[in-house]
Amino acid sequence: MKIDQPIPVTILTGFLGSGKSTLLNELLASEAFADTAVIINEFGDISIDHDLVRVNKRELMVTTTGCLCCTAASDIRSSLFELYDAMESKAVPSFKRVIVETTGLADPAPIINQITPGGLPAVGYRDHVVARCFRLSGVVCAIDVTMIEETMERHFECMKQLAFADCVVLTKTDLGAEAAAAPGLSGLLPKIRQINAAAAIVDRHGNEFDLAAVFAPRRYVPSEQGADVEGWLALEVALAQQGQTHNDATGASRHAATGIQSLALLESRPVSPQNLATFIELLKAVGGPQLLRLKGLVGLEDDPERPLVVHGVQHAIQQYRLPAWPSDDRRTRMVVIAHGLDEAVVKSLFTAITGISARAKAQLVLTVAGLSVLGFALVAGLLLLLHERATAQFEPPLVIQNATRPQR
Amino acid sequence: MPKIALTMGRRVQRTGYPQAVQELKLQTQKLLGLSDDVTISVSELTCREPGCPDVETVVAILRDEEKPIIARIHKSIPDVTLDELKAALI
Repeated sequence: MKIDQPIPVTILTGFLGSGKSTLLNELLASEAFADTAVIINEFGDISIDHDLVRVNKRELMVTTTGCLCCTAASDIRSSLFELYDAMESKAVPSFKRVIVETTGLADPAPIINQITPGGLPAVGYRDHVVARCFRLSGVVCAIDVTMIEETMERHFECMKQLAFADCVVLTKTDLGAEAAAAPGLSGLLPKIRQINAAAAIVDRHGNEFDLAAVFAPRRYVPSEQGADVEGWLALEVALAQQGQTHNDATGASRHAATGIQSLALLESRPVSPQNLATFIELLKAVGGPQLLRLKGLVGLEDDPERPLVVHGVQHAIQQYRLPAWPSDDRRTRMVVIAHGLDEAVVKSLFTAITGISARAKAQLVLTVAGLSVLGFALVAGLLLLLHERATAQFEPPLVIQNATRPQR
Repeated sequence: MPKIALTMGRRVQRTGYPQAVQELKLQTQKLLGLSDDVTISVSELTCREPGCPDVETVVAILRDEEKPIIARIHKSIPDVTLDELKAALI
């Protein structure tokens, strides 16, 4: 298949819990974006985000593992090449655009350097195909207005994500109490402008919001994003030339080294709603500000066919039910992303609470009670039988005894 | 002016990333007498060297047609002091 024009690639970034998947879901529900290929990058050992993004049959999704910014060499180039290859071989329908949803911890610099002319040099057939067939056509950054100030102060990645964006989408502006507690958009905008002076800023819940326009292909030129962005991209190239972009050849995570870890929790049996609530409350109490993100799909005992989606961003937890499991995998799976939290503690907590469900407990209690009664009855019966036999063998009947007693 | 991580010697008050990055750039420019057209990039990476702290601040001086100068401090950006920056750059 001949590609006349490079296929536009839009990067959707934003810190953990900023609402990227929600935006993507809404976009993919639109007919105008039916011919969209989606690359979802997840940070963690088990994939959840790809189940939470509803993809129509006409769309194609590739889920990468690990973190785009951390895996050595060119993960984004690999994913784009796979898409191209699948389209070429007609394994998938053709698509008109690609959206890459990064992990919330992604550093955009290495990703952008891989798909920008003048970035990382193309090496080999794959890289040249990607350079010829795809072009970067926008970087959208979702910003949670209730958390952004604190997050930007504490996480370098958050600041970089904002700086690279040519369109900033303010999310969660509709949250009553939390939005009211936030500094307000008028106070927030100058702080955003200090990091990114040029990006278009739109309110996700504003009357004028046009999601299609946010993701419309456009010209993205890194040098127009300001001196910081230019410097970071140049630094990435310089470090890559030194072979020091990543911390080891296997692509181990930058985030692990900075104390951010991802814990995967799996449970094949349905969980009781009370146990889940207890787990979440304990996790929040144990984690405190170290708990960055909690997300998962949970099979509940009360209705195992309708899984519960759990979204947690630091202290705020959202939950809702899906009408059905999004895939054949019906295991409860949760990912906890935390900063310096003891993995063993979290896993022990999860195992202690969900390792045995309330129903299983009830069944076990009934089984044990039933066995106990049965065992008691058997033992009692056996004792009675033995007693009767012993009596019959060693105690002669009184009548006979009386009858045989000699008279003196 | 608030006291920040780059106060001489011991850190006085920890600040957030946006301010700390700008301060590091300004101090680098001042220490090396760089003009405004020289790009100074401040980033935070991990360190691969055995025995080093996990996080490192990387300060790069990037000039057209010249090999970049890259200084490393084995701390996160907001924790870097002026003394440490000076020692890494000069």
